[in-house]
Amino acid sequence: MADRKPQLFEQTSQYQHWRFTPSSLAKLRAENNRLGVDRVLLGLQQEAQVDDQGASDTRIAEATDNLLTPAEELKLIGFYLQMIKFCAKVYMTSKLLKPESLNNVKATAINFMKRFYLHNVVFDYHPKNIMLTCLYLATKVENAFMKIDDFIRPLAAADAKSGSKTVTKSEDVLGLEFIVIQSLQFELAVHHPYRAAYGFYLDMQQYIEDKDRLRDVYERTAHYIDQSLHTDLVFFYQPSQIALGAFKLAAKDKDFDVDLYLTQRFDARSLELLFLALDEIQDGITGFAQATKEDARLIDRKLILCRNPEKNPNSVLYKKTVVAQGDVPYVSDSDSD
Amino acid sequence: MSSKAILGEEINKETESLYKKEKKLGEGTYAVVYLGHHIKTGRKVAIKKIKLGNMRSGLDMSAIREVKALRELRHPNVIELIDVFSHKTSLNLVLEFLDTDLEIVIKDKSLVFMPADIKSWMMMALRGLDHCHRCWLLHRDLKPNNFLIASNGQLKLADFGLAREFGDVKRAMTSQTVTRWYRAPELLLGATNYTGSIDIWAMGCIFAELSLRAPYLPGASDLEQLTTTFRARGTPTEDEWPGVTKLPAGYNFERFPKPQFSDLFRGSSDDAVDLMNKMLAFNPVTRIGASDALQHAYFRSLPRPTAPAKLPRPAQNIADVDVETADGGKKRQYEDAFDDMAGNGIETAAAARDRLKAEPAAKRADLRISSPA
Repeated sequence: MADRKPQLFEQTSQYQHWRFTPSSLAKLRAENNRLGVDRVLLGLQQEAQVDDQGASDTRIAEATDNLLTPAEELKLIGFYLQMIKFCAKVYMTSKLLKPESLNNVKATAINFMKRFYLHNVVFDYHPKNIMLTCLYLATKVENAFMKIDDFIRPLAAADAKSGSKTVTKSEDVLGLEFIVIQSLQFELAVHHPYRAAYGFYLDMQQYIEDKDRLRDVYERTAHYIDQSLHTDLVFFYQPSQIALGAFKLAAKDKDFDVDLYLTQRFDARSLELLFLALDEIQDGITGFAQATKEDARLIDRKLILCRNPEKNPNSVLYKKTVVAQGDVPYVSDSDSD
Repeated sequence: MSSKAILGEEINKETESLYKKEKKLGEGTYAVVYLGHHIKTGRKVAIKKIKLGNMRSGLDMSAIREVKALRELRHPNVIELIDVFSHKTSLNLVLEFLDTDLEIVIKDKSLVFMPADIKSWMMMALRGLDHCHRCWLLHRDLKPNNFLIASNGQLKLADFGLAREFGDVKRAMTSQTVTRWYRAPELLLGATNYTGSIDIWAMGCIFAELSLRAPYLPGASDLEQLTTTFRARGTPTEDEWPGVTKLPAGYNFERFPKPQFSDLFRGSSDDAVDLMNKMLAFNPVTRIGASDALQHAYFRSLPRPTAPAKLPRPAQNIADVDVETADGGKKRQYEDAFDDMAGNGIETAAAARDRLKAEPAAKRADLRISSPA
């Protein structure tokens, strides 16, 4: 098998650059967090030098006490990942997003955001903003383009309704577009389990008699695939493997047996490995715990105290250095499209 | 991705620092292309700088499509996207540097094409396209000037600004795609669900153009494109394209008879005409696919495709192309000697080309060559 042609999936950027083991992923996140913390402390020290109000000592002490751990970062990011599907549904209801594009847009946005935070920390970029930019970018990548004004409208309306102090503007979304895309290493093609699941569903029809129940099972898999998007499984397994894991869970719910299909379709040696992977995938999916609003609120309260002043437009440092140098991030301001 | 930096911004800066821009090569409405080089290796590159200053909705769709597609494709006949970096408000694509394109070659009347040359270009083009289709990607803008040519003669598929993935029947795609003269009939009739067969149609048009040295189906407007197509290919019948006469918009086209293709493509072999007809089949379902096209008898029969390095190409300086030889004939500037398959009696394209150049024009009429229109 050494000279076989590489599988199509093995040629994708997803396979080549975005694959980890649980321990390599944890290591990367820990290192990323550590470097982020260093930058926060360095930024605060720099701020102390330019700050003439003399409150910097307190600020440094507060930040040091409230620094987020990698796990806290993940929980906060996780909360905003969950928001993506609600936002996406709003666009669907207002006919800006076609129902058939929903799954891909949602899944790509979630994936972008997860990848983004492998190369950034929440101290620098708050997930609330990154979430919107990832979602907008995902609409473009998944051929579901809408104009930025259309994208902003429901968000601004929601801000106004909730009496929020700030109203989302197009610059908030577009200003981060380059920051996001460069952190994605400009790799925009993402593969999801939905299509693989559909492929399996078609293939299974040749092996499974009871088509009605099979359809029930297939329809149920979407639920588990949705759930899988929020886990780290995408960094460990191929979309087709996750799809099969979701199929097995769906089959259990419907008291159905897809193992019969698997045993006919794969040889004993592959099956042994496959079942091992599928067990882990099923555990990963069912083990997913939602981040609650309360979790997010508590972490967010800490984050206010430990943001990197270098990246925070409201900080003294930012106002005195970044703005003064005229090096403000890209903001789109023209009318042409 | 061998970079040690973790931070997205740092990785981007590292990438940018690898290249140096030199002079401007060209400017389009949305991008400027620079000649540049990789600082450490000295490798020549083209840097396509996409300006975003005036994009109301941020990164535009063609930039997204191009980056998304090229980041996934690696093939000798697809342009290599070496790196990407952003700089303030511009997106920079570092592409392999390519000297010329197929349109320039076709239009250069000083170049003579032999059947073996056309076969070579078609083979490289179809290989690149087959790779895209295998990766479930449609190019959607195939035309001669989107096939670039490297200094070693390799043909490379480029400009992926309209490319997108396909295969999901539930998701409609626009029929307003592909440059008009290369647009497949199903697109002209408004199909929103299509496959790689639309790229194959365009390839078929390019095949014909290589033989005719002129665009094959030059419709004057979108409306006239179907008429031009039907006049050249014969109006399709229900047998030829089941369902075509039952389209919701009706089927009120003038019935043109099917012409004798071998008359028009007199310089082409029967195999060549057969493959061309299969690529230009009206029914997209029966139209030949890229990988089957590569298996067609045309690519297995003689003459063998010309080695890429021996293909005709425009000289930098036209005045230097032809050098008068002692016997009064003209000799190409580049070396053809390698192309001679000594001892087997087969005249190679390069050898034949030299002979033709030496023969008076009147004697050439009966030879199977394609000459400038």
